[in-house]
Amino acid sequence: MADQARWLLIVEKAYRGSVETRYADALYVVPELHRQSGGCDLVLRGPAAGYALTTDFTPELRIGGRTLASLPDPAASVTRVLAAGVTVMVEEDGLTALGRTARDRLLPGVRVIEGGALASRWPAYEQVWFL
Amino acid sequence: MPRPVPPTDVLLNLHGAPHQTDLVTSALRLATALLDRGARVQIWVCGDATRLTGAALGDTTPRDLSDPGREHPSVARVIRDLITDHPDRLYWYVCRFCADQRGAAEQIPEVRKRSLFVYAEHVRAAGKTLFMGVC
Repeated sequence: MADQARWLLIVEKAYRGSVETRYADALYVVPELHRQSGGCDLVLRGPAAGYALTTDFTPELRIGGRTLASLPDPAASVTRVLAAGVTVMVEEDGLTALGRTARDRLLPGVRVIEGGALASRWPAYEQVWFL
Repeated sequence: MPRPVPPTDVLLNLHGAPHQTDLVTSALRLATALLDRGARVQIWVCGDATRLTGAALGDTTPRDLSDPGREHPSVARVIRDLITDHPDRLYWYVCRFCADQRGAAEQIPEVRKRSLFVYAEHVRAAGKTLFMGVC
């Protein structure tokens, strides 16, 4: 976890629409919050732990005669957040729920933290946001 | 005199709110699959789903600041094209009360606003009725 991080961002509600949401998923704003706040850490927990995994899924869908190629792409979003310098953590509980091989499929750079211990970290941050 | 409801094979009631789950996507995928098989479909939306076809959404989404050169059709545009691509086979009805209550009274012209008082006519005009989500 980066020492300078001031805001802790937590995402646990995942997969909030595709056709109507498109590229602007829950993580879309995180790089900008990181820039404005002076530093953010991001924790993925519960169903959102799946955001931290590599996948072969192609986020593309045909609706009628139109193919939409700009659906939410959680793995790409996490990769973009990491590239912006945000420390990304995933709770072990959420990861375990995704199967035995989940840890092997983690995106490079994502750290695993113990489940249930997250609240003890809150006092170290100026702000704690559930996105 | 209200217009009669055209008969359809299926009535999809889309009552779940957008931006919460993949329900809207599932409804559009299901409609696409039904239309691909030649079915006649009507979709009745209530609650926050009435915003999907709000005229205020325009034809495109807000610009993606991480990829500003790329243009994306709005969900209203996606639905509009789905309707116009299937004349006389897809009808999209918006609950007037729900739309008005949510400030979404102005809708794209391809959808029809209907009063809840005629809802049963839509059920009777469909071979099967499927509910998706709650308001």
